This record gives sequence, structure tokens and C-alpha cells, in this order.
Amino acid sequence: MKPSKRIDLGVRIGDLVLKNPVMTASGTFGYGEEFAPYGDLNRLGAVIVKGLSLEPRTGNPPPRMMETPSGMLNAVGLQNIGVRAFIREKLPFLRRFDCAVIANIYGETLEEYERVAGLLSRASGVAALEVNISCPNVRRGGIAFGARPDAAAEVTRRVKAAAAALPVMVKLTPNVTDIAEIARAVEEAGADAISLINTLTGMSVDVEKRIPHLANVTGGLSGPAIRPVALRMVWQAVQAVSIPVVGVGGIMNARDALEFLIVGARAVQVGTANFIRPAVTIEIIDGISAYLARHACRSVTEIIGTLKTPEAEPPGGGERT
Amino acid sequence: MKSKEMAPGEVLFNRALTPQHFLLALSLPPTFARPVPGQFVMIRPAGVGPQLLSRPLSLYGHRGGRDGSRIELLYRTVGAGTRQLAALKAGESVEILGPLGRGFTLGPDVDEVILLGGGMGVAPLTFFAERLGRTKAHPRVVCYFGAGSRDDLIGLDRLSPLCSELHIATEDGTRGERGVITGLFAARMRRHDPRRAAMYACGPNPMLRTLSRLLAGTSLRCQVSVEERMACGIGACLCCATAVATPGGQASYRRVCCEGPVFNLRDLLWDALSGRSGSRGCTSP
Repeated sequence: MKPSKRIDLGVRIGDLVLKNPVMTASGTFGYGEEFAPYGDLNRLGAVIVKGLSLEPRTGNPPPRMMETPSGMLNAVGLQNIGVRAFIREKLPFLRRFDCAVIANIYGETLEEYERVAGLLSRASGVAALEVNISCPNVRRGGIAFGARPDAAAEVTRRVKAAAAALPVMVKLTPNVTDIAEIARAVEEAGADAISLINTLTGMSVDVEKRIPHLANVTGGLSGPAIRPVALRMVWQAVQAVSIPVVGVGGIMNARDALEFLIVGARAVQVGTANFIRPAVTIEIIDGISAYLARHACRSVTEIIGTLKTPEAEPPGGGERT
Repeated sequence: MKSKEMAPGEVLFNRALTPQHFLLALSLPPTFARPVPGQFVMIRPAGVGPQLLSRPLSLYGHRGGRDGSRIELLYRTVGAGTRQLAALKAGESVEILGPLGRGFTLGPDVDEVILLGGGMGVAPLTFFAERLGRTKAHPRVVCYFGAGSRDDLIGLDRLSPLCSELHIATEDGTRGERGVITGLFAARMRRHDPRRAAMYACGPNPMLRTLSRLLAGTSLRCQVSVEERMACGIGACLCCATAVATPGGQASYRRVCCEGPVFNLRDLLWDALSGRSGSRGCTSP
């Protein structure tokens, strides 16, 4: 079924204009080239590449992955080729596509975040930065910055200053007590958008051998298992900040993506599903179009943040007997 | 831009060879490329099931035609994912990605091929031996095949006619020599001329590790097919990392799905960068 061409899927994330609200989540889409044989990258709203550090990173020892009920644990540990090799070897390929390229960046120190952001701001073909302050699988940096409002704000300020004109989206961890507090801290520090959630820290044990299934012992849980948690946190974040919120977490199909848009996400990222069906993002884009046609919407913006909640009802909701 | 796709496959049969071992035959559309032995596919039952991720399985057989391909996969049920595959019935649909990875290669000056397999490692080696039989070079095939017990020696009927010599060992001695297959090979390895022979191995990591020690002092070439848990099979998730020595002599991770699953045995590192001592990961659960 070919959806109507009159439907406008375009969304704005601050200064970043996307042709549709579907992005690929960092760490699940390589550098884009791995998926080019399986689907037309020109169709995507944005490609967010694997997290980049200043120097190449080896990553964690194997085993790095374990499938768990409705999800998977990973402890890859931000293995990447480094920001300079990315600009030199990977970015030229991505520039050939009519698709926003968002570079996910990571640092062990504030200075490293700054330097990576600076290098990318001078590279041609990067549309925005996504700041990873939420990786649970590295000892330094990552989640260490994302779990405290003051530290999250400081990274945001420094990256924003180093990123020149590039929009800066900060990716938040769900492994916090109060997501609204972190979201507000990052907004006040100048973030143009926030994306959430990164993976939930988890663990799995081989009971026969009595060893963890991951060499890193703990890993990040992703997939549909985390979707209700992600959706709740996105909904909370949308109410806490006025900058755009991008929803991530266990989106497998258009219906899942629509849940996030309806609770107020301006766009979504698809992660683990890419591993299962390499062309799933394109199916999701078409599915959103079909939904909009069925609901007589001319623009995807007509459904963003349209959740009907029983606000007038007493706490607990539902009808009184 | 699109040149590859996830192919729909139909189950022709899914035969239980033992309560744990299965032979799965699939019919695939003609778009499925001719595989090289050693390559693998990512497979999952079509639709939404309790297990999300596809499982990587080495190709055991392939027949191609104008109307489509037929592939065979040999697997053992180890965990929830393979148990889900075992429940597939004839006529049901699967989703297949592949053929993936780099398979075995044969040098021009080889007139003896040594196969060494443990357990399910027999699958890619049998496919390789079958393909060799159709090449012009037609090298002599000497096979060493081991398993825990007689009942775990799966696929002997197909392997046996492809080999000039077949040496068997079981750990409990119920068939062939008692002991591990690397022990049997060690006792006979001087009979193989490293200038004429090339070796190919697939099996559990302890077997490969012992083999790497045995071959350390020799010039015998050996390619091995490595197993590691995978999420995507196409190089994006970086879950299937395995430690190898780079040409510069440094230790580095390579993706089993893309740079492998076939590696030169001498490039694999068993301690540097690897996880728990002696562990190079494990098979797909």
C-alpha cells in the first residue's frame, strides 16, 4: 500500500529539519553503510551513527550480548573507530544520501566531549550532535555524566559551546530517580533537544556454570521489554521541558512509534529492531503515513502530543462507583 | 539503492535426528545468492515470536536453480532461540538473511584437505567437502570428526562418502577412539605434508584452542569457522567481536559476522582481549 503523497511527515527538532520523524538509534545502525544494501537510506529521517570518541576504542571483551525476554542485553563498550577516522572514512559515504546525519559523541572527560564536538562541527555533512551521557557499559564517562543533573548540565554547556552552529541533542539514561530533573537541567544548560531512553542496566546469569552471560557482567537492556518504561519517561520529559523530545526504546513497528509521538515525542529512534529486520525503519515510515491517512491527518504534527488523559479525574483515574 | 533483502523461506522439513539435533531444509527465492561453504544465514521464524533475534547458523547444504534455492541447516537445541526453530513445521515461514560472512577458501597448490570437526562443526565442513568434490582440483579429503558420544556424531552418513579417510573419536569411547578428536589428530599429524595440505576446522572453542597449540610449531595452514553470539549478522551491532592479531602484530577485535566467521587459526588470540580465561564466547543459545 503506497501512502498518499500529500501527507507531510516533516518535523523540526530545533533548527534541524527532518523529512520524517524516524531516526536510527546510535549503536544499532553502524555507520549507515552496513544497512545501505538492505534499504534506501534516502528514505530515513536521520541516521544516528555509532557513538564516537576522540580516539578509537576497542570495546569490551566477548561475550557482549545475550538475548533476554522480549529484549537483549549488550555490553559492547562503545567500540568505535574514533572521530577522525569517521570524518575521513565514513562521512563521505553518508554525505551521498539525502538524509540527516547525526553524530553521537562520547567522552571520558569534559575535554574529550568538547574536542569531539569541535572536530565534528568543522566537518561537512553532519546535521546535529547527539551527546551520549548515558552509556552503562563503560567505566568512565557515559552514565557517570548522565545520572547527575549538575554533571549532565556541565557536559551540555561545554558541548554546546564547542559545537558552533550544530544543534545539540542530549541522550538521557533511564537509570535515574527523576528523569524530569535531569531533562530540565540539560534544557537550562542549552540543549536544543533531548532523546531518551538509553538502555536500562541489566544482568543475566548462566545457572549451570554460575557465571554472568556477559563478560562485562552487566549490560544495557534494549528491545520491546523496555518500551513501556521508555514511553512513561518520554511522557514525563515532554511535560518537564519545552525543547523537543525524541522517543527511543523498543520501537518495533509503526504502532509503537505512534505511541511515542502521541505522548509528545517530536520524533523517534528505532534501535534493536534494526538488528532483526534491516529495513524496519522504512516499514515504520510507511506505517506512520498509512495511519495518518486513515485518521485523515495531513501532517504528522497533528498527532504529536495529542494524548487524551483523564485530567479531570481524581488520582487513580477511572470512573467512581 | 536496495540490493539485498530479508528473504522469506518456507520450511520443507525440520527433521529431528536425535532429540537435540535437527536438520532443517528450506526453500528460498532465487534472489538468495550461491553461498560459499563456511558462510552462514541469520534465521528466525516469521512474524512475532517470544524470541526476537535471529540465530546464526552455518550452511550445511545448498542447491540453486532458476526457480529458487534450497538450503539445509543442521543445528542443536541449546536455548530458547534454537528451541523455537525446532518447533517449526513443514510449510511454515521463516525470515532469512544471507548468505553472510566470509567462507572457506582453497589455495591453488592444495592436494590434501584435512577437515577437523567437533559436534555441530560438522555442518560447514560437510558442505565444504561436498563442494570440493565438484571442483577441478578435487583434493583428497581426510576428516577427523569427534563428539561427546556416539549419538552426538551427527551427519556421519553424508560426510563419510565425501572423505578418503575418516577418523572418529568420542569422549566416552562409544564409537571410534576414546578421547578428544584433537588427540587423535595429534597422533597422526606428522603424516600430513604442510606443503601440500590445508586444514579446515570447526567446533567448540576448547577444541580450536588445543588445535592452535598443536599447529603452533608447524607450517600447516588452517582456517577455522568461529562461533559467537550475534544480534544482527551484518556488522552493525558489534556483539560478535573476537580477538585477532592484526598484520601489525597488535591485538584487535574483529566482527565474526563480517570479517569471519572463517579466520586463519594462527590469527586468533586466546588470551589477549578475550574475556574469561579460555573462553572465546559460546554458541548461540
